[in-house]
Amino acid sequence: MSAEKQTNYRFDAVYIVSAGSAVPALPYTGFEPTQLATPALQSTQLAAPPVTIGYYGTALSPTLTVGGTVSLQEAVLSSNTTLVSVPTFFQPTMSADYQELGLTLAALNSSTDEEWKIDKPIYEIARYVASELMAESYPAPKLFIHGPNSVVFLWEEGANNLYLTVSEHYISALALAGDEIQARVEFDRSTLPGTSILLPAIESARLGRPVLSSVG
Amino acid sequence: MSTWKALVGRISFLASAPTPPPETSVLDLYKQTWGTNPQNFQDAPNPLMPSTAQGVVDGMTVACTKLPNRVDFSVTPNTTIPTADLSIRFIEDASTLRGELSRIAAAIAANQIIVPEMLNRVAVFIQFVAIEPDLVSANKAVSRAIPRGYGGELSDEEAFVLQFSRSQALRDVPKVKLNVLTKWSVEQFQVVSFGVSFGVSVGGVAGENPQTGIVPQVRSYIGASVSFDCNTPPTRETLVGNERSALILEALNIASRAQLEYGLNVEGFDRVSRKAN
Repeated sequence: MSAEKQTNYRFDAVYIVSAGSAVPALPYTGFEPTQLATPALQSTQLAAPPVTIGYYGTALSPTLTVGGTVSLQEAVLSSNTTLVSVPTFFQPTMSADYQELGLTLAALNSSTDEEWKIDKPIYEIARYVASELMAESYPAPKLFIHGPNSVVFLWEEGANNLYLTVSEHYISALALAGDEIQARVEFDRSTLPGTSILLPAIESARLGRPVLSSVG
Repeated sequence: MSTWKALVGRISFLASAPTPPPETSVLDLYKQTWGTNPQNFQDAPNPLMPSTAQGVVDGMTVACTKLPNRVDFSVTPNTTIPTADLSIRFIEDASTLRGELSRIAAAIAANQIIVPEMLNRVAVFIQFVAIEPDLVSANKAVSRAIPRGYGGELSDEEAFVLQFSRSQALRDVPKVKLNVLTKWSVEQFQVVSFGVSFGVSVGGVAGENPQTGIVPQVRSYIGASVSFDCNTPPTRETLVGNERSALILEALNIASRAQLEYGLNVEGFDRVSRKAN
């Protein structure tokens, strides 16, 4: 692994521009619990544009190699950071990847094997972060544990990896291109404006400049 | 002329902080809200899926749904009594819908319903629908509901959607503003029923050698839809019960005025039913 450049920096702005409301995918009315053998009402839009939030779908470019610690308190959010729509809260057909992620979390929480068990507060935090990632339609990460006090979410795209370590007080991110560190940032969870800003903020730190993120 | 009816009403509380709210029981929330045990309860089959408690109150299906990052109280038509013709159901008395949502708001202000403060984003969703015989009629119905200056002539276009938001400041809750997101659209609705059928073998007698199987039945409708999604943006501010209640009630007032302004004239939604007071 190449040496990390220890450049401390601050960035002035992370611009999150609301692209208007997301028009959710099917179904629209959310979860409507039904009983067997009674009519179930589904509302579908004739054609619904997909929610285009898969921010980490962009490839990690090997062009930037800055590192350092970023304090998110110094980020300035534009006035358009309001989310004007409430995310569709339930997709009856949860992706298999998120189903697997949820079951893995449950297994880690209930495990009696000290090598695999995570503490209850970490389970709750990881579950919450995963729920937020799912609500924002980010692709489901893989899950690893880092002892009982933290979990690691991992996204892989070819030789590029993003590790997100979630502990009780901090979220830290490590972006790798092959063996080379692209960025390493750490956020104090108490100062993070919200989970929806997390991955764009990491990308901004990696690039060392404001990024434009479409949210809705 | 189109007949607009209420299809769904929902009050939601969402988290906007990166720290998860304390664990709450959906059963407790249901009992706090409706004062009785639910008729149906489903615990979360997966940590990332919701747990749900559901029942029937005042002829409406009511449900409380909980996820790690949100809690929802929804009111929908009662579909527990099946119909042979798979007719689409609505909340026929919209005053009852508004009354129920208003009652929930009052109960929150009175701390009778304990929603964690960390769920500090409030949202109210109301949807009105007018079922039409065909796409052209549905387009005409939705066009009539669009304020002058926003709409154009529609004929047989499919998938029409018009959506925008206006934010409003509330005098009673100055710390947050209320986004009023209105959506006009033409939607397809499907009533789906899974029933068990019993048949007879060829040449046999009724009841002898019955054939059984799941027979899904689907009936589709096309309708014009106008929905109001009033919600507060993510914030670090803590909203206490009175403030949440004020936001919910104002959202209902906004939806009530708007549906009259747009010519929906949903019977009863401009008043609160006496039973809910």
